[in-house]
Amino acid sequence: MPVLCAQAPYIRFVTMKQDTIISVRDVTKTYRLYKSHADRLKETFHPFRRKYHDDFNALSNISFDVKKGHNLAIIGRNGSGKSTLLQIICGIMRPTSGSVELTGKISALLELGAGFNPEFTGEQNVYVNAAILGLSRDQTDARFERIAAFADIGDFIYQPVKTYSSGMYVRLAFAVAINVDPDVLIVDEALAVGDIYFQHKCMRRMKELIQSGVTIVLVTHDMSAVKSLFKEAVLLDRGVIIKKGESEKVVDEYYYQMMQEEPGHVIPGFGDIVKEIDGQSIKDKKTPRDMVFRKDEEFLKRTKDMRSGTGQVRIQNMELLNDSEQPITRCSFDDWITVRGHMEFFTDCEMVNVGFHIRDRNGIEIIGTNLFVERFYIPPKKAGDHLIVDFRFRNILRDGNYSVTMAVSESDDHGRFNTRTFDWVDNGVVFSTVSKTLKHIHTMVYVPVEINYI
Amino acid sequence: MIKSFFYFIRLVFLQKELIFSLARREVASHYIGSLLGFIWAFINPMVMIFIFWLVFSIGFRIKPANDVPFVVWLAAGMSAWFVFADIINGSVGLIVSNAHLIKKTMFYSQILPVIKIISSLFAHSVFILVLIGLIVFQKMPFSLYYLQVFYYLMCLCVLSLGLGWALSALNVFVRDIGQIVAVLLQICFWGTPIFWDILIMPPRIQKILQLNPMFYIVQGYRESFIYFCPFWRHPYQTMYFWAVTVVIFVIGAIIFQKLKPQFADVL
Repeated sequence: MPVLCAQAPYIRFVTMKQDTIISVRDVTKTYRLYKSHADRLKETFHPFRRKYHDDFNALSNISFDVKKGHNLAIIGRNGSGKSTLLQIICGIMRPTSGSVELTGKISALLELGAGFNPEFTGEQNVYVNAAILGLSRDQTDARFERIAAFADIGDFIYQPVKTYSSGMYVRLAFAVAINVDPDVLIVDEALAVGDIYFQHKCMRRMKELIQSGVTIVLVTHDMSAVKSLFKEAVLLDRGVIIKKGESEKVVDEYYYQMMQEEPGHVIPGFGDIVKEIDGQSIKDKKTPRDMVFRKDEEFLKRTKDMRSGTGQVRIQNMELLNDSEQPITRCSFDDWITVRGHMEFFTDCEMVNVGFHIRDRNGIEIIGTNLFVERFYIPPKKAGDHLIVDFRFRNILRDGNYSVTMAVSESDDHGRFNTRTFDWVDNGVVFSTVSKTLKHIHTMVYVPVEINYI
Repeated sequence: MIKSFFYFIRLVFLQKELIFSLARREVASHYIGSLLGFIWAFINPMVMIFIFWLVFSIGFRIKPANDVPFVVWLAAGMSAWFVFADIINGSVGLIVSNAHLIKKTMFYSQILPVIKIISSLFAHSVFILVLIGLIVFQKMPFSLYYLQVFYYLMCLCVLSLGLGWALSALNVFVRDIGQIVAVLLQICFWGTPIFWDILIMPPRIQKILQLNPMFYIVQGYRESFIYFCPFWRHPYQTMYFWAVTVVIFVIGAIIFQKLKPQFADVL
């Protein structure tokens, strides 16, 4: 019998079907929302049991099983009940109705470094945190080297945790939690910590755990992790299971939901996603465009602190469009997307140059070009003129979040170098992309490659 | 019902390793970062007893009753009260202040009052050592009856654990409990014969005052250190104390157990 197992009365350690490790049956969680504390007391002592609260169903009739050695990702938008569900599975919270059955030693990682005391050294905190996660002192002794190596914070482990950078803090916390060696590991949103290097290390360790037969239940927003690591997934929306089953299909459903929810946005054809990467020329596909100058106050406000330049030409709006001229914030791999800039001239300009680039979340410029590079000449502009420039390209980016930077400048007469920068807007538009056709893109971008062999 | 009650208690024992490491940290956190460190644990009670001695033995020249210096008599009773008040005051807010552990880890919150008691016992044992030093300094006799203090200490722990469970759980729902407890402790301090001798009261009032379970412990401390009188000399008082304490302990545990599943909802 495991020492650290939930003991709330609704959790039963019954002999389930041999291979089932977690069984969630009809779990409903209802919160009573009171307008004030006084209402709560009034209701408790009201002689005729008048109702003073509104019911809020955080979860309704949730049922699923997790089999031994299988893994489950729980996905859904913010507020869909994912974390509440994890808390109920762990026995931290009691469901209003329904039951949870589980076997084995559970380790829950709902918050990194819960129980860290900033005054104590990393080493001392490792021991206490491991004890909270259910390890004895000897067991922690045996794992300490491994934990320290995983956190990779050097001699800082002997310094008080308050001296740590936030990155070091989460690394240490994660290192402890992932080295506890439970039968079931329950993780809430913990993968998105640390730098890329550390994230990769975490992923590798998760894979190792999965291979060694640990059952992992994970809540995350990292869809590429879900698809690559998890066989099964559950999609929650407003406390209801929308879809469960094969993770790939559930993730697709999730994206479909997300796009439907955004008003005015077009769902990029989910039916005909299998476009071939065949190197068609851009001009063939160009559709007639509705290019009307628009100044966007919201855009100007948002980018106020991200500008530099003389201001003699202003980028008054930036847009990211799909081929139906609809603004988008998400797109799929291999979609055609357009970066559009609306510029207003307050000075005359002989040779105008406009450029953009797309950065990943690490700030690395991945895609970009400008009119010089493209040998694209725009006739001289006068003060008061408007200029709209479209950069249209095929999305070859791997899954992730990206930002678009745009700049307008003046060049010398031959278009060789910039003489002055009028306006430079960092991160004017952000978007995310996901691959639906290719299973994985392991590189930053994917371009068609011809393969020959003999 | 009974089974789950015993499981509730058993979990405390199963978690002893965690309890001790958290208690150690709790104690260390008081002194960490200070230059003198653990020496402070001694300075505090020594200064307090020195002041008592200065005020009552030198200043007011209170005459020793039955050849017992007032300062010894006072410090013996006072030490029991201090640790009790420290545990109760500290227990009330435990669940609320450890919300992150309760909501974010699989944590058996019933161990929190136990941790509080163990960490309070550290400061208390220092106080006892200082007290014994004072007794030796006053050239009073030494006796094996000193060991009887462990019995009374156990009484105190069981009583305050029951109270700690009840108060810490209720405080989650009614935060006024913390304030009420602070006021009640003030009243009880003067209602318990610590600064004054129960014998100055009329016999009828004495009977009422003896209903206070803390009276049994304060009196027991004095009998262990000063009067050398074993606890079985008061069979009725002992039985009464244990009856009350067991009831408080069981009710406290049941209250905690009943309210515990809702902690995560309310915190």
